[in-house]
Formats: sequence, structure tokens, C-alpha cells
Amino acid sequence: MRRRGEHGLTAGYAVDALEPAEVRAAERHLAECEDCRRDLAEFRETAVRLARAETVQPREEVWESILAEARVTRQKPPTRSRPAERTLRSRSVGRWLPWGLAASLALFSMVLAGTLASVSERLAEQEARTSEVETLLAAADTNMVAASLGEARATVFASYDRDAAVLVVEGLSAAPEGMAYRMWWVDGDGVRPAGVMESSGEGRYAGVAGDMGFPDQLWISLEPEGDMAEPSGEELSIDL
Amino acid sequence: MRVPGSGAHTVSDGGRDDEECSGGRHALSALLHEVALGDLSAFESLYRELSGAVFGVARRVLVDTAQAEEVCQEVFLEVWRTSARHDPSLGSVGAWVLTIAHRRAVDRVRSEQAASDRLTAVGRLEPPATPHDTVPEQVEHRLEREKVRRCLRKLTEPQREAVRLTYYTGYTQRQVADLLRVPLTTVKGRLRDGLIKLRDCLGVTV
Ligand SMILES: [Zn+2]
Repeated sequence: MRRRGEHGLTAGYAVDALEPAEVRAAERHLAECEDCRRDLAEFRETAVRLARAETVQPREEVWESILAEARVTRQKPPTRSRPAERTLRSRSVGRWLPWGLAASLALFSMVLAGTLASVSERLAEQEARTSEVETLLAAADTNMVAASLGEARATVFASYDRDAAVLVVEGLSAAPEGMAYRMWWVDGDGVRPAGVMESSGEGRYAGVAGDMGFPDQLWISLEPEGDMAEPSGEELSIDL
Repeated sequence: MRVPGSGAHTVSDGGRDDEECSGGRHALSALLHEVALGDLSAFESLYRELSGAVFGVARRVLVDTAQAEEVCQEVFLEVWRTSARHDPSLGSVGAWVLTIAHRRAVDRVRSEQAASDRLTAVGRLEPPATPHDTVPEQVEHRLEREKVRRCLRKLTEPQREAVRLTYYTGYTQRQVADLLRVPLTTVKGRLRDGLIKLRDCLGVTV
């Protein structure tokens, strides 16, 4: 698409001078271009020299507070690879349909029109974020993946540029009083909360999951209301 | 699911070899390996080695000392948490840590900028005056600074400006283009050429 231009993003990437969408493009390109990876490494080493020339020792209290915090901070285990610059999402590309294509399927269009309007409304009531859903669906890189979860059918619309996804599930049994369907991102770092799903009638649940990163899976589980760090119920899993 | 670590590391206080290296690549990567095993004294050595540059560059970008201290804390805690995930094939430990530092400083500038740009359409156009003249510095750092200054002087004025406005001030290339009223591709070219000249002048190798 913009091959030529993407070689030219490396210098900007090295000194954090890219706009968010350019960052994604640069990372995609770096995953494929060895020349640019070498340039990046050299530019970063150059930046190290610029930084060292700025050397100023911080107050000793800074170290003391870091040490105190480190003593109670769990370290992460090694991971197979660094998603941001290495594998990126080549793994999932084949499974994802371009949203434009998916949108042409009348069934989905009809189902989604109602659901998304309803999600938008709810979000608008809560946080005035209507445009978030619209922006996400309009984003150039938005992709769709469909999966069956036993009786239920899930559809995910995800945009790496927007770092968010919309999840729509049909055919879920109604959440009992005091319980809610919650979403969870699963990636190399483990499991983290991705938000709550809302009922939009007729056995349909939908939610907007932000802070996506480069997930391996999206999970849904039925949980008691209130914030939770990890799923306690049995989870339904969507491979991304 | 995941059991929180129970800091069962032995912390040997003191015994740090202060002259072990001045940023030697292998020394830092050996230290990081020990940090990944939970060794707090290795963590302190790594901190002593890199905190001046981390804090310095954060302060240069942010101007504000308190914010730079916060960034310094965030950076080293991230290093502590993710030390096992550093991939040596993607660059040196120093480059990794300082990349985190610069990115966090720039992120703060941008979120502040986004807030203030909404109030004043103009925003802060002039980069802040550099604050470092007010601080006494050690000889080795003065030498390194002199060398960097000499190399910066070898850039053309537009190249130097592109490096200054991006790396030191935290603007995106696009913002620089808007600010200078030149095409984006021009800014990209200046920044790239500037970094290449600096790389060669400083004798950077990977
Ligand atoms: Zn390239």
C-alpha cells in the first residue's frame, strides 16, 4: 500500500516522532524489513548517546522508592517473542476477513445495525462515547472474525489502529440477576479484563473492549458484578 | 491462574563494583540477566549505570523535574517487571531502557499537549529552553556531552532543528512539518539524514 513510505518511517519511529497510526504501520513494516530493523538498532544506539549526554543524577529518594516498589512487584516470565516488533500478527492475518467484505453479508449487516446502535446508545448514556464505536468500525484496518461458542455465535470487529474491538454475541443465555458477561484479553502477558458486555435484547450481548494490544484470544465469562482481575467462571474462548 | 511472586530473592547489600563498567554492553546484558532472576543488587547496579541518562533525557524532554522523577521510577519498574523479556537481537540493554524512557517522556508531553492544545489553538510552539546549564556535572558526562555537541554542530541547521524538535522536544514529524510549514517528507528526510550523520560522527555500531 505505502511500501516506499514505510521504509521512511524508521527514523521517526526510533525517536518516537510518529503519530499513532504511523507507529502501527512502522511496526508492521519492521517485522518484514531487515534493513529497517538494522537502521532502527543503529538509530536507537545513536539516541542512547544523545541521552547519555543529558546525564543528570536523580535524587536518591527516586531509587529508594523504586526499590521499595520492586520488592513487592512480581516479575513477568519470559515470553516466546516480542509481539510488538517480531511476530506481529502474521499469525492471524489469514483468519480475518476485511470488514468491508463482511459488511456486505446482509445477515450480519442486519444483526449488527440493531446491536451496534444499541451499544452506541448505552455508551452514549454512560460515557458519551458513541463515536468510539463508529470510529472503530470506520477505521481502515478494522477486521472481523466470527466464531461459534457452543450454541452462541460471536463476531469480533477489531482495529489495531484504534487498539479496540467490538464484540457481539448472539444466543447467550441471559445473565442471572447480579451477574454479568465480562470480556478478557489473553496474550503473552496472561489474562486481563477487557470490559463488561451489555444485553441488547433477544439474547444478544455486545461490548467494546479497549486496550487491545496484540491478543491471542478474547474470552467471555459469566461473573458476579464488580471489578475482577481474573475470570472466576468458565470461559468461552475466541481465537484471534 | 498466576501466582504472585513471593520476593524470595537474596539481597546482598553493598559489594557493588562501581568501576565494573561504563556502560559496557556485555556487562549491562549480564546484569539484566541477573535482574531477570530477581536479583535486587544487580537491579541497583543497572540503575546506577543508566538512571542518570534516563532521568536526564526525561528531564530534557519534560523540563519538569518532578515529572522526570516519575518517569524514571516508571521506567525502572518496567525494566524490573519485564527484564526476562528483553530480546538482545533487538538491541542493547541501554537502547532498550532509554527507548522506554524517551517514549514515556514523550507520551507525557503529548498528553499534556493534547490537553493544552484544546485550550489554545496555537499550543506551545517554542521548545523549552534547555535546563541543564543550571546543574553541576561530572567530567565524563561533560566529555560525552561535548562530543554530542560537536556532532550536532556538523548537522545542517534544518537537520539539527528536526532532531531537536523531535527527540529533545517530543514533537511528531507531522507536528514539526506543520510548525515549520514544510512538507512532511521534507521533515522525514531531514530527521533521517540528521540521525545518520550523528550515528557516523559518534561512531555508533550495532
Ligand atoms: Zn524497510
